Amino acid sequence: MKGNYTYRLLYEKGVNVRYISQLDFVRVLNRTVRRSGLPVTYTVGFNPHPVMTVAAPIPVGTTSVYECIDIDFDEKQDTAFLAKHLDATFPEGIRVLEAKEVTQASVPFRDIDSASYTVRAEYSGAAPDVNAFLALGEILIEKKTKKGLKEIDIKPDIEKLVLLSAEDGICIFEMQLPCGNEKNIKPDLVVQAIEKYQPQFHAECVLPHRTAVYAKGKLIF
Amino acid sequence: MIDDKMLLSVSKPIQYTGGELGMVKKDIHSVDMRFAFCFPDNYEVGMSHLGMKILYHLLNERADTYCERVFAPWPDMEEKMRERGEPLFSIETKSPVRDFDIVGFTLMYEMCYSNVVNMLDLSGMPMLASERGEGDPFVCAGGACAYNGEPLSDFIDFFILGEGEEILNEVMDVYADWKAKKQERKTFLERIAELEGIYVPSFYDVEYNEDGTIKSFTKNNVHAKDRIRKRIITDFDNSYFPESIIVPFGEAVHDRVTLEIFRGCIRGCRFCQAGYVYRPVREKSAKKLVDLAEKLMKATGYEEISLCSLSTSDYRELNELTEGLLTEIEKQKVNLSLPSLRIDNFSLDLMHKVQTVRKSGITFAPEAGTQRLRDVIKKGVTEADLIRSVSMVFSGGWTNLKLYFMIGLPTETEDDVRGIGALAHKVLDAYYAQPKEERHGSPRISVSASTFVPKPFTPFQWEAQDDLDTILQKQKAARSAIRSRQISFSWHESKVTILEGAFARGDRRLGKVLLAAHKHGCKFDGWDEYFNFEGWMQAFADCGIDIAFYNNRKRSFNEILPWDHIDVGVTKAFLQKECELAYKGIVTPNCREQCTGCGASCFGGGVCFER
Repeated sequence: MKGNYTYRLLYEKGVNVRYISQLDFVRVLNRTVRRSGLPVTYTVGFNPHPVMTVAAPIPVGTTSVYECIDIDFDEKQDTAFLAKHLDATFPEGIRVLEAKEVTQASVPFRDIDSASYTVRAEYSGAAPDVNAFLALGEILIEKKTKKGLKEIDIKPDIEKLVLLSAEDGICIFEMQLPCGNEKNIKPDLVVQAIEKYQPQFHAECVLPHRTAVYAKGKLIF
Repeated sequence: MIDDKMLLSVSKPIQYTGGELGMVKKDIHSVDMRFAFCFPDNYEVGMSHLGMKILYHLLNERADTYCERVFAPWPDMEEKMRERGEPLFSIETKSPVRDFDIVGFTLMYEMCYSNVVNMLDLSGMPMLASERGEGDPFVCAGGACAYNGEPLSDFIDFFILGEGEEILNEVMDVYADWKAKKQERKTFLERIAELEGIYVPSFYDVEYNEDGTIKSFTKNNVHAKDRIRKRIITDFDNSYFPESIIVPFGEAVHDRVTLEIFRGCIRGCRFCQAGYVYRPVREKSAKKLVDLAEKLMKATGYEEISLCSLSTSDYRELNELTEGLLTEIEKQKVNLSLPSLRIDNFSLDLMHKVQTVRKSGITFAPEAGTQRLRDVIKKGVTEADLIRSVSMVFSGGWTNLKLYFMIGLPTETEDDVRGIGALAHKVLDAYYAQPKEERHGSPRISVSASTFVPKPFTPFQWEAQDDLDTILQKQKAARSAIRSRQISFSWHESKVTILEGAFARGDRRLGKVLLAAHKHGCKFDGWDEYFNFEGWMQAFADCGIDIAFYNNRKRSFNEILPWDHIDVGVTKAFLQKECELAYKGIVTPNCREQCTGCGASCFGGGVCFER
């Protein structure tokens, strides 16, 4: 089932909704779209639901200013109205920033391969030494996969890692990491790896904030 | 404060954060009264509770009151809270529960009592009512189990009997006045004790005989009533229901629009407490319900509507209601779910239209395996009825049936228990009785047997509950009577029912046991992974209380029962008569066939006054 028009929304996931899981979030989107009363396209069958595609799943605890969703409509929409109306319909903490029509030129979500974050963590002991960390030949860390824990080398995956600040027990990193169907590395895993290789650095309360999502080098919105 | 450090380290943190669509926001400094609505189970269960949805919004309609929600933190969260000394908090403003004016628990079933005690402990206020003083909140409780709240009476300042919509506002009015006048703590309790439907346990003394039965139950305060009558809404059609409800972010057990079509039940099955304590039956009109459904769907965006009552088919305007809803759900692309429908041509046609039942299969509740026993419990369904219904269901294309039974019913013999298996086989035979070319798929019959627990305010309130060994033997016998692989048999954990039985018909002496069980770490008893039977048995042993006294003892009709001072409308004399008729296997008519004079007409409304 496909609607006549597809619109892409750019929205923010704020602090008070950071603990919504991806699965729950899809339900929230679903209900918001239903409440909006807009002429969205529904799937056919016994359990009709709005035709929507969510871009890159976001981990529990992560806030974002760069989330995207494609929604299908039966009728053409005014993008400014669409953004404003859905923004008012979403629960608090989810802000719709912009909407635009999806065209041939739009980046398809299936090409998403990377995302950037700022990551805030509380730390004790020594401040992290990012340069030393990045100079390592390999960065081995255990990652949870569907088959259980698996040791992987994330060195080639770290597209960008910068320490923005480290003072008063708070450090802030900037990262760009694989994100998408092919490969997904969460920012907390990188922080864990730094802890592993720099035992004098202890982090807790790691709070990532997503700032952009890319597909083949292009921003998705 | 609950911070990210804690939330990141626990499972499902979304259950503690609030901020959902529909949540009421108020400034705590701009209200006179703060009410903590406590649900003694986790968020997922609590947010499914219809009563909480109604009363939360009812209280928040008052400009002078802010009602906030409180749930039992899951054990991983509780551990973190205790580690850091964080007290039990509300979802809306994350305030400590002990800062509220009134702390109200809803008691949906007996196995939540340990959570009530644990939540009081976590709140940091004195757990016992007798130890709370000026400045401490008042702790109250209502809901189904409040009709015999005696086991909790050490912990609860007052019980609210009956329907909260009818009485809560009166309590709040008295509280507002009491607070403005800066009266003593006891004065508040004395003032509300004069309201119909409020039971203050500390205003009554209990004396016991040597054999452990109650010798006397007397009031010790002039403001207290001799008997406390429950409160109900007589005009249910015009009763309060919020037009917007909270939509949880995380999953709730029942996450949908629930339409309560009526309260009470005309059937009066003799084992069913709800069938007596919620009398008389009062309906909401189809017109109101369709209108409400439309508003609620618009406000919530829910994708499913479910009807809620004790017996959907007894709703007189079912045809009008479903017609109205079907039009609406078509438009809004939502699903309709229709629980507890009796099978006939009308309901089958309806099920085909709504289609949602195909997922889960169709459930029948014959409750007992033989006609004799079904007559005893007044389950007005015959074998011929059942076979006719299942045949219709099979020919309608359904192959997945569930059959619900109870084990341990009064007068039950081995024949009755084996009859469960026999009846399941007859249901299977009904499938094969169809011509081969008309059969769909292959049949699956799931037989499920729960353990009967005698409840207060039913004709079986005097009965002995089967002990664990007897139940296990009976479960085995039922099982052995099933010889087909197309019939599966499952039963419920009977150890839980021992405690359920003791607390359902318990008295004040069980308060000590609750405290002891709390010390042994008992909580979340309704959850298999946390149910701690050994802890409970140890608690009974610590207090020198024999659980068999509550469970396995048949009471005489003249015994003073711990709940005799509570008046639910239905009289003790009526229950006794029903019990005697049960022994004779005589079925009495339902409320719409003929009034049997149960006593519920004293409320002046509902089915008792239908023409």
